[in-house]
Amino acid sequence: MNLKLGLGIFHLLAVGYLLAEGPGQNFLTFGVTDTTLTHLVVHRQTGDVYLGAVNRIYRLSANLTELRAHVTGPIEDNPECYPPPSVRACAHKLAPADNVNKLLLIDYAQKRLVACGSIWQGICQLLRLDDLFKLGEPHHRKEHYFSSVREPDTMAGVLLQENTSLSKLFIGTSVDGKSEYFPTLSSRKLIRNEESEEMFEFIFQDEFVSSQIKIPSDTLSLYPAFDIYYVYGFVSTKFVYFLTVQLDTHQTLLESTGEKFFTSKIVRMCSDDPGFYSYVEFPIGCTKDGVEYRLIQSAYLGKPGKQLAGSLGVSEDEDVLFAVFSQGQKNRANPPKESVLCLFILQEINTRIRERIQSCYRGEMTLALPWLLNKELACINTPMKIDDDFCGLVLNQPLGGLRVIEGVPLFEDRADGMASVAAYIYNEHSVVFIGTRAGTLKKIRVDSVPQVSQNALLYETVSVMEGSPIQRDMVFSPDFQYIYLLNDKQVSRLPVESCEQYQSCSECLGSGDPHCGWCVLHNVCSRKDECERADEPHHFAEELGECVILMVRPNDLSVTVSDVLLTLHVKNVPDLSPGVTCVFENITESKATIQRHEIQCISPSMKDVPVTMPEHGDKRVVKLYLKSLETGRRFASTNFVFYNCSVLHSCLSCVSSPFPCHWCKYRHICTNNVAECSFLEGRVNFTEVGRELFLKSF
Amino acid sequence: ICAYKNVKQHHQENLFKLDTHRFENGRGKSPYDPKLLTTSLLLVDGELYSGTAADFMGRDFAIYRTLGHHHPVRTEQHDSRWLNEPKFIGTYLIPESDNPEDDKIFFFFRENAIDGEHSGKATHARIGQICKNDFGGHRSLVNKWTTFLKARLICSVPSPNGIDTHFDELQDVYLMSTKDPKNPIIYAVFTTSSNIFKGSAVCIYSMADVRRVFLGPFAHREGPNYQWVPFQGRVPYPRPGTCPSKTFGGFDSTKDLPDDVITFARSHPAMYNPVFPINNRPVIIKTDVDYQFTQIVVDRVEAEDGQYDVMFIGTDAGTVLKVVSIPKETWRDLEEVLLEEMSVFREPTAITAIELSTKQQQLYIGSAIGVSQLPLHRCDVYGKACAECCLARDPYCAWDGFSCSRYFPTAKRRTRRQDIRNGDPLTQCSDLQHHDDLNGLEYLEEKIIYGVENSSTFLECSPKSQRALIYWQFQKQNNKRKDEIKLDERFIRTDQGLLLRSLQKKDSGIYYCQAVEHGFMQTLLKVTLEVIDTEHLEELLHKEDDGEGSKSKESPGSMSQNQKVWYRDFMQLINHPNLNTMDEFCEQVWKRERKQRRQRPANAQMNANKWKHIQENKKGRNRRTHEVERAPRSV
Repeated sequence: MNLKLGLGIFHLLAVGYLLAEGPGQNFLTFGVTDTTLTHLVVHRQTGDVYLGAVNRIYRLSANLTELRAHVTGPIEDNPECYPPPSVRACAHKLAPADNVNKLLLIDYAQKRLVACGSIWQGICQLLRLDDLFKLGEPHHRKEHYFSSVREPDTMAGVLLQENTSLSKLFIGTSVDGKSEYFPTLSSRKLIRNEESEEMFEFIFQDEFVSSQIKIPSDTLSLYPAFDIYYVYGFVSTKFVYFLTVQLDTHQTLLESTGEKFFTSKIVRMCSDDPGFYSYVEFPIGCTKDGVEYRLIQSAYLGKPGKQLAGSLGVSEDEDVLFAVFSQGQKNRANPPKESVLCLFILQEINTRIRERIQSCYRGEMTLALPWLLNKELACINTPMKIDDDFCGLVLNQPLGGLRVIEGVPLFEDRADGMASVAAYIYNEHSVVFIGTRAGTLKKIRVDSVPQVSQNALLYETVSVMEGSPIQRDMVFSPDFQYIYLLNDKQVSRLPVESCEQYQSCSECLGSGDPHCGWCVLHNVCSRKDECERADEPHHFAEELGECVILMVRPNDLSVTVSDVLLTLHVKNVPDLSPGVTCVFENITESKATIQRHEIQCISPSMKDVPVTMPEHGDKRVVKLYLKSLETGRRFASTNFVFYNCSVLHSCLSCVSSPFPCHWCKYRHICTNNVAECSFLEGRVNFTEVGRELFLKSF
Repeated sequence: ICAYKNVKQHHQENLFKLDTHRFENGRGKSPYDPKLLTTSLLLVDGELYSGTAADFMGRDFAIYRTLGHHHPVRTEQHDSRWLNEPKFIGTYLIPESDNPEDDKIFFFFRENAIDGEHSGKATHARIGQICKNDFGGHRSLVNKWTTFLKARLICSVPSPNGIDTHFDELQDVYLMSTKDPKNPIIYAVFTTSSNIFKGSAVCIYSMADVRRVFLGPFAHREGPNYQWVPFQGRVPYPRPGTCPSKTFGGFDSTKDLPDDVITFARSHPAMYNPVFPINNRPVIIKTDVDYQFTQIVVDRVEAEDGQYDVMFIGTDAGTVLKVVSIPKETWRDLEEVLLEEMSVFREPTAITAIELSTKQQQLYIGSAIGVSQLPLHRCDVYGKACAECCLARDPYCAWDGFSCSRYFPTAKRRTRRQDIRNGDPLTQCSDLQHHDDLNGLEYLEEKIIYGVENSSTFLECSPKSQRALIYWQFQKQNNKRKDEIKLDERFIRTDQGLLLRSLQKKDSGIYYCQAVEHGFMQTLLKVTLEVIDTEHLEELLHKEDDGEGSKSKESPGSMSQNQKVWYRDFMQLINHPNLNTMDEFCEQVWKRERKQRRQRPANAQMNANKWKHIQENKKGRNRRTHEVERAPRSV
C-alpha cells in the first residue's frame, strides 16, 4: 500500500536550496526550510548522499545537488492504533502525523535504502537507490512495527550480508514503554524480495527462544520511564556491538518522579547467534581529572594511525572506538556541554567481556542484569574453556558487566558540547573530527595518548553553522576528501583539510594539521598528493625544520649602486636545475646562476633600482624571491634592503645609520660612497663623531 | 516419558529402556533442573499440557501446550503478571459444560505474590485456567494463551480479630471426582510459609466457587504506585477467559478475538477475588508437630451411615496419615478423625507421590528412597472386639460378628456393626456383649515389673486409638480400691506411658492404664510393681549370675534392641544415683536376651529390602514421634 499524500502538492513544492558556497566559507551546503533533517548516509561507491528527514528522504549528489526527494508523510495516524489504521480501522481519532525518519541504511547488496520512520508503529520503507522509488513498505505484520517513538536518534541498525538473497538486520530501538509490541533489540531477515512475507521476520523464533530482547514488563512497572536509546551500532570480527544509553536502575529511585540517572552501555552479541545467548552488556564511560563522563553522545569505529598504534602498543589493524561522552549521568535529553572524547581498544573490551564470562562460568557472582532479569540469578559453575570467540550457551546468559569499562580520555571540551565524532587515518596520523552543539567542527590530531589533564592536539575549529547543533551522523566522502555534517536544516560538505588557508611554510607546518605540508616549488600549503613531485627530496616540507631558508650576501645595497653580484644561500630546496630567477618584488626579475649550493644573481640595474621616497626614510625593504622556472612560482624569499644615505641630512643621523653612510664634512652631505667626499674635505665616520660632538660643545 | 540423561554414570539394568530412536525435545515439557516443580497432563488426543520452566536458567516459566496437531501455545514470556516464579503442583482437565468446546485445563501452582499485592515477599497459591480450544491471538498474543486467568486459593484459619493465619504454600492437589464430571471436589494440601511456625492444612474447594471467582472482577492496577483494585470499567466482549464455543456464542476461535479483548486479557490475567475453601476454613490443620504435609489422595468410601471421604496425607517425615472428616451436627461442622498414622519408609523421608488404586485397594507411595505399597484399610489392627472396631470409626471397617473387617455396602449382613458418625460402641455392640467382653479384659496385658528403691521405672501404655484419653489408676496390694494417680514430680505422664521417679517402697502395687474414648473406658494395661530395697539388690544380682532368670513374666522376645535406647534416655534424664549398678543389672538381662534372640530368625533383616511391603504385623501402628521408637506392643 502506498502512502497517501493528503497534502501532497504543497509539500512537493517545498524543496531544498543549494548554496554554492556558504557565507565566507569554502564548503558546500544543501538546506531545507520546511522539514527537519535527521539522518545522513553516503554511498560508499557512488558518493551519493542520502538524507532522512521529517516526511522526506532525499538523494543528493556528492556535491550536494538535489537529485530526488521522496515524500514519506504526513500520514493519517494515531500512535494508539495498533495495528495501524492501514491494517484495521482504529477507534482512536486519526490526524495527519509527521513521519520522522529514525534509521537510514544502505543495503548495498540489493541496491536499496532501508528507511524506518515513526508512523504506523514504526514501519520501514525500502527505496531504490537511484530514484528513491518505493520498492516496498511492509506494514501488515507485527514484525513490521519497529517502534512508534518519534525521537529521531534513538534507533541504530547494523546490516550484515548473509548471502545473495538474505541479509541480517540488527536493530536496536527505544520503545517508550511499549515492550509488548516492540523488542528493544532484534535481528531480522532482510529479504531480497520486498514483497516477501518473511521480510523483517526474526532470524529465529520459537516458543522459547527468539532473536530479540524485550524490556520485561516488570522492569517497566518498576521504572515506567525505563528505555534504551541506541546511539551507535557496528560490526567487528564476528560480533555486533551497540552503544546505548539507558536509565540507571541502580541510581534512579524506584517509582520516583524525581531525578533520573542514566548510564551508557556497550552491548555485544555474536552475529550468528539466533537465540541471543551471547548477549553481554557492560557499563561504559570515561573519567578525566577525576570527573565521570557517562552519557555517550556519539561513537565511531576506526583504526589507529601508525603513530597512535605505536603509542598504544597495538597493531594498526586493531579496531579502536572513538566515543564522545557528556559529563555526569543526568540530562540525557539536554546533555551538559562538558564533554570528553575517549578512546577504547576493542580488543580490551573483548577481553573484559571474556573475563566476565569466564568468571561466571566459574560460578562467581550473579548474572548482574537487573533490568533484563528482574532478579538475581547466580552464575552456574560450569567448567569449560571459554575463548574470545565464545558465543554463549543456554546457561549463564544474558550477562551483565559489573565494573564500568573506562576509555582513555583524549580531548576535553567544556564550552561547545561535543555531539558527534568521526575519525580516519591520514598518513600515519589519526584525525578525529568532532561536531559540536555550538555548530562548529573541531579537528583533532591523535598521535598518542595525551598525558593526564592534557588534551590531544586540536588544530582547527571551523564554524559550520553557528549556534545550530551538529547531529550525530557525520560521514566521510568515499575518498575521504570531504566530511558531511548535518544540522537540522542543512547538510554541509567540508573538505577534511583547508591547508591553503596557511600562507607560509611556517604557518602551514605550525598549524598541526597532519594533512598539510609545504609544497616548496609551488609555495603553497597543501596535501602531499596535491603537490607535484612531492616525493622527491625537498619538494614537500612536512616539518617546520624543512621550510626553505634563503640568505643573501650582501643583504643590502645603496640605491646608488647597481648590478652587484649577490650570492644567495638556500637550504631545504629541491633540485633547482630547471632554473630559478631572482625576483626583487615587482621590481626586477633576473636569471640566477646555480653553483652547487649557491645561487648568484645580479642586483637591479641602475634604472631599476627602486626609488626611495621620502616616506621610506633612509631605506626600502624589498622581498627578494627565488622563483622556480619549473613552476613559475616564487618559492623562497628573504628581505633585501636598499638604503639611501643621501636622505640623511645631519651628521649624526648619517653616521649612526646602520648602513655604511659617510658624512662629507664640508659639503654636509651623507653618502655611501666615500669617494664622493672630496679628498680635502675629509669625511666623518662614526668613530669620529664622538670627538666632533665634543669639540662642538665648546 | 521424560528422562534426564546422566552423562557420567551408566545404569546397568533397566526394566524400561529408552527408545533411543524416538527422542522428543523436552524443552517446555520437562524442566532442565530435575528438582524444579513441574506438572504435565497428556490428553487422549495427544496434546501435552505442561507447566514448567523452559530455559536452563529457570526464569522462563511457561504453561505450554504441545505435541498436538496445532501450533504450540504458551503463556506470555517474562511477564510476572502472568506467572511469577511459579512452582507447579498439578494440572487437570475439567469440563465446563456438556459441550467439549468449553473444556478447560486447570493448573494449580504457587508463586510469588504480584508486586504491590502484598507488602514484602509472599507466596500465593493459585488456580489458573485456560481453554482447551485456545489457539492464541492473531496479531497480538500470537501462539500465546488468550484465555489464561488465575485466581488466588485461600486456605486460612479465621480469627476473631480478623487477622487470619494463612497457609499459602500449596503442596499438592487431589481432584476427587463426583458423579458430575464438571464438579470434582478439590482437595489441596498447604503448608505455612513461615520457617518458625510449621503448620499444614487441607482445604477443600468447590468448582462452583472457582467459576464464580473467574466470572468475578479482574484485578486491575492503574500504575506502579497504585493499589490493586477490582476492574470497574467495561470488560470487552467476549469476556476474557470464555472459551470460543457455541454454548456462549459469539466467536469460533481465539484467533478471531477482537484486539481489545486480547489487550485486556494480556494485562489482566489475575482475578481480584480469591477462591475461599468450603466452610471458609481448612478441614484439617496440623501445627506444632515437626513434620509437614506433602501429598494427598482421597478415597470416597461407602459406609453404613453414608459416604465418607478418607484422606491419605503424606508427610515430609515418611508417614501417611489416614484421616476422615466426619460431620458432627451439620455438614458445615466437620470433625477430623485421625484413623491411622503409618511410617511407610525405613527412615524418615519426604513422601513425594501417592497414587490411589481403588481397584487394588492399595496406596502406592513414593519417596526419594523407594516406593511403598499400603492397603487402604487394615481393619484387623483395630482389635478383636466390636467396641474397638466401632470406636476406630474407620469407614472401611465394620464388625462382622467375628472380626473387624472390610465393609462392603452391597453384601448386607445383620451382624455387621459400624457407626462412623458417632463411633458409639454402646449402641452398636451392647447386644453382642456376650460374645465379647466390653471391658476388653480378654486382651488385657498383665505384667510384673520390679523396681529398685530410689531408682525409676516406666510403665508403658499408649492407646491404639489416636483419640483415646489415658487415665492411670493405682491399687494397693490386697486392697480393692483403685485411686486415680495424682501426677506430680514423681509421677510423670508421657504419651508413651507413666514414668515413676525415685521409687519408694509404698509405690508397690497394681497400676491400671485406662483408655477413655466416647465415654467408653477400656483397661489397656495392668502392671504389678514390686519395689526392691537397695540392700537386696546385691543379693539379687548374684542370684541372676546363677542363671536363675528374672521373675518378669514379660516375654523377652517382645523386646527390641531399641529398648535400650529409650531406657538409657530416661535413666540419664532422672540421673539415678545407682545408674552404674542399674546398668550392670540390665546388661545381664539383655545379654541373656540376645542369646535367645540369636536363636530366632531376625525379622528385622527383611526390612532392609528397599522394595519391601509394609511389615504390618511387625511394625504395627506407629506414633507421632518418630525418633523415639518403642518396642511394639502385642496387638
